[in-house]
Amino acid sequence: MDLSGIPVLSIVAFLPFIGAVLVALIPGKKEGAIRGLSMAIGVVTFLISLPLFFQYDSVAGDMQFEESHTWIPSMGIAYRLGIDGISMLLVLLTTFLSPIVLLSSYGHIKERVKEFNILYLVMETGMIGVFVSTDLFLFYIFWELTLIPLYFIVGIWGGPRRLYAAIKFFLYTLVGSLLMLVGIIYLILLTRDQCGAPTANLFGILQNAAIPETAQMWLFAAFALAFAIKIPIFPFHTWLPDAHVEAPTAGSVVLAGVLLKLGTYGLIRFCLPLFPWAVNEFTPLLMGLAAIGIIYGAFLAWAQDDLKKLVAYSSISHMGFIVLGIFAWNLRGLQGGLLQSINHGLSTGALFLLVGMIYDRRHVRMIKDFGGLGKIIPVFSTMLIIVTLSSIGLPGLNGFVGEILIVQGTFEANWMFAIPAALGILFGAIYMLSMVRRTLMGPAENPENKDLKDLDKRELCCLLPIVILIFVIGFFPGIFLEKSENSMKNNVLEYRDRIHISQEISQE
Amino acid sequence: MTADDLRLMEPLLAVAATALLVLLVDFFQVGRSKNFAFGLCLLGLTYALVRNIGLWNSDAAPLCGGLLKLDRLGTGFNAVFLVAGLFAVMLSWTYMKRTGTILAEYYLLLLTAVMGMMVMAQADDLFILFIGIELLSIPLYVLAAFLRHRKQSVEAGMKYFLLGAFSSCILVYGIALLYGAAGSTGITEVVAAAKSGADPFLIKAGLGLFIVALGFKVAAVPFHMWAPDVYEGSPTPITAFMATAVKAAGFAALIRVFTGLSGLFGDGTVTHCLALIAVATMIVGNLGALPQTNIKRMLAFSSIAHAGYIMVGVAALSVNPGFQAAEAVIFYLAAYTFTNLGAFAVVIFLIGKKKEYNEIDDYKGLALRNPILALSMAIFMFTLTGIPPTAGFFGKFFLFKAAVDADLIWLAVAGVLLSVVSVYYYVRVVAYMYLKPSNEDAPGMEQCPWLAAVSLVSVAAVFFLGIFPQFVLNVLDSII
Repeated sequence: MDLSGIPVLSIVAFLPFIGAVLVALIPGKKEGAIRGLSMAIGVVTFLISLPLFFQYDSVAGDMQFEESHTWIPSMGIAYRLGIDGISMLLVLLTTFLSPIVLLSSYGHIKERVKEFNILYLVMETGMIGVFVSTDLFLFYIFWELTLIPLYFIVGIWGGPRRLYAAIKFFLYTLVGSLLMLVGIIYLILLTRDQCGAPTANLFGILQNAAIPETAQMWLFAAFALAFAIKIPIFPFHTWLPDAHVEAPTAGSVVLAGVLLKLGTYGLIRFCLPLFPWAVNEFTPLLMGLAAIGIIYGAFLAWAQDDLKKLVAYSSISHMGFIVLGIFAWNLRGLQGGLLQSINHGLSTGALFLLVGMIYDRRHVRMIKDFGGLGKIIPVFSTMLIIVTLSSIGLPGLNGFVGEILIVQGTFEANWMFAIPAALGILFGAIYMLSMVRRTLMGPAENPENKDLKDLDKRELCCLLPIVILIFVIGFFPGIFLEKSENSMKNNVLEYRDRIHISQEISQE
Repeated sequence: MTADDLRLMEPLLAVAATALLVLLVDFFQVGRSKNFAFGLCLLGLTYALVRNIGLWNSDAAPLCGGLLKLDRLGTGFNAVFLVAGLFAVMLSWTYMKRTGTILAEYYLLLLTAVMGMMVMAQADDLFILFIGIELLSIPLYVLAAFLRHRKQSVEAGMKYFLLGAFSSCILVYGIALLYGAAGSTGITEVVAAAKSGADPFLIKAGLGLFIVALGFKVAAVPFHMWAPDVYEGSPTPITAFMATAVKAAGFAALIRVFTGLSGLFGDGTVTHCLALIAVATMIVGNLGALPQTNIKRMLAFSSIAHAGYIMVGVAALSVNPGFQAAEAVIFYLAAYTFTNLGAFAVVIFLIGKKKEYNEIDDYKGLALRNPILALSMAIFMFTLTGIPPTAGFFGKFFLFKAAVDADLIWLAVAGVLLSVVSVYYYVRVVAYMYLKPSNEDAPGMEQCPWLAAVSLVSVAAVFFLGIFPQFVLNVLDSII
């Protein structure tokens, strides 16, 4: 299939939005039609995005499928889309998880179905948009577009403390992103002379401009704060457990699966290439925070009695790994960070799905209410074990590849930080396996668990694609790593050498 | 005054003529419904708007021997005032019907106020500016107190009158000082005198008093004390009018004076004053709005906060000559006018015959009772917060860009952080509408085509400005 001449990225990004408009036209009572249409849109978006994977020329590793239309010329802002190997994988993660999230919502979104599907589809457009924009300003618009849908998803369909969690999420994220907006404005104005005209084109700025040291420091702080809150890096993580615990399953899955990855993607795409000098200065701090996050998240997860809270805190620990890999700032670390972004999306997404499925049945999530489920619902238990093993990095499954790359990369960069990373893996194994032991093993004492039904076909349809992908990445990680390797070299590591250039500029 | 002058003043004269016609016609219709006067207002304002747009290309013609100046800045602001006037008339018709106070004088006063604003935007002489302000203010004192059987409304009128009268005195004193320095009251002459080194102390003192007086009009801190009470007590359409058009008129006058003077004060005293006012206004507005339970009061404080954001633009304007900052201010005012008028249309929608449902509590569950109304209110709240892709986002974007360009990065950062505070009270309205169940005595909704028109046009404008900002920028570019 030849994709040249077709604005395929625009189609992938805006098809969900068009779907949302169509869903809005269906009367709210026809829930079947609404769900069917949304599912169809989700699946079609995935199918359209699939050729991107096969058609992307990973040997060149540059921006491909590019589109550009003028928008606000006075600020050099344009509708610029393009993907390289890094963003392509994350676009696919989004389009892959979206139908699964929509399918899973059949189980727990019973009221205001229409609103949910509209909000989700709008959010999907926002998430894909973030990954495909190569214009700083357009990136920001899509970034903000993901905010309101999740606010409503948590606020309308969430748990008892949903209002608190929703507004907390909103405020935290907005503080970071608005400061990033000031950073974007400043960056555009600062590079105006070097580029000849103001431009928000990321690659235009990268090719033509060198940013002085102090400016890099402030700009890096503004950008990194936005991403650090989104990821979240310790100590900006406190919104995450609240949001995860109160969100409905679909919300948690998409939050862990994709939304947190917006932050790690931002670090890779913007912070590292644009501000190499500042990154170099801040690396020890950020790696330190990531290491604290790994250990601290693991301890918090260990102490939880609530399944969902456990998964939420484990998320903080795992995101710490990804940040560690990114700031190792070498090919292994970055590749590991990217792959782990995808792995975390799959395995934590699946964990939230499983927790949601058991919650739908029993309406409790406390670990002490379960025990011995292995005999009662074997299929569920198998799935939970596979996903848990993937999450703790068992060789042969996806998590292993990402973690080993990150630890290697970290070791190359600074061996000290490899210690907390290794410890984090160990703790991860302890708390996850103890969770499995306490829920699945042992005698089934609680009489209320006796009549639990095993997974039905719909739930299997949600989980099987993820589990298959877990194995595929585990056995053939090369297929995916090879796609992003040259992009990582050309678009990220290439700019590492510029540390000295900015020094010279500042001295002049 | 020549025939050409009359042609160029046609929009202004059309509004004046409509005002007189309304009064005249009412004389023959005592005790009858005021639908005729309403129709007359709509016609007159629409006609003036069309003529005003027609005058777009008649460039910078001095009128009446240099007292007025018809440039694109004036024409552009006039368009904003006329649209706001039209919307206010539409809102008033419904409001007056529901509260049962229908008098033709109301429309007369409103039209006179619109006239005053148009004079302000076109004034090229400080005294004409003063006349414009008085022409705007005096009708508004009466309008604020128009519901004379209500204590709150009378109190609002009285407060507004007392403080407004003081601010007028201060303005005249400022004009006197500027006259002392320049030997003329013409704005062009004052600017020329300032540039050629007239007594800088007198100029600065005069400008300072000028800022204070207009600070009253736009409700900038510390001259904002009247705003919450007056906004709460006045009839809702008048609140909407005061929060949008009157504010725009105040800033129009500030822009008139500061575009000429920008960059003149090397030591930055004026800029620092403006920046301090901006920060104080943003802080008081945003923090004041947080605990409000009455939607009109909340919008009053929010309008103070927005005056603060716009002041950021004025501060940038005082540093950078050229039109970028002025552009940002005008864009913001246009965006804000549409948004706020739309939001007030929703507020009036809820007003019943027996009770005004002005508590934020009354918005509980609105999404289920009236989805379209709730959706438009949500859109207005998000655009006031500044979430893309809406007009409010680009308004803030251009303002903060102007500030960064003027080396006032700290001001931009302060603005950004304080707009995070605003999330809480705007989103609370949305949360009440969407996330909470209705109260038991929830107001029943009466349909009203005029209100629906105002809110629909506003929603359309909010998205148009938010998706195609370049269109407006191109128009503004040609203002220079």
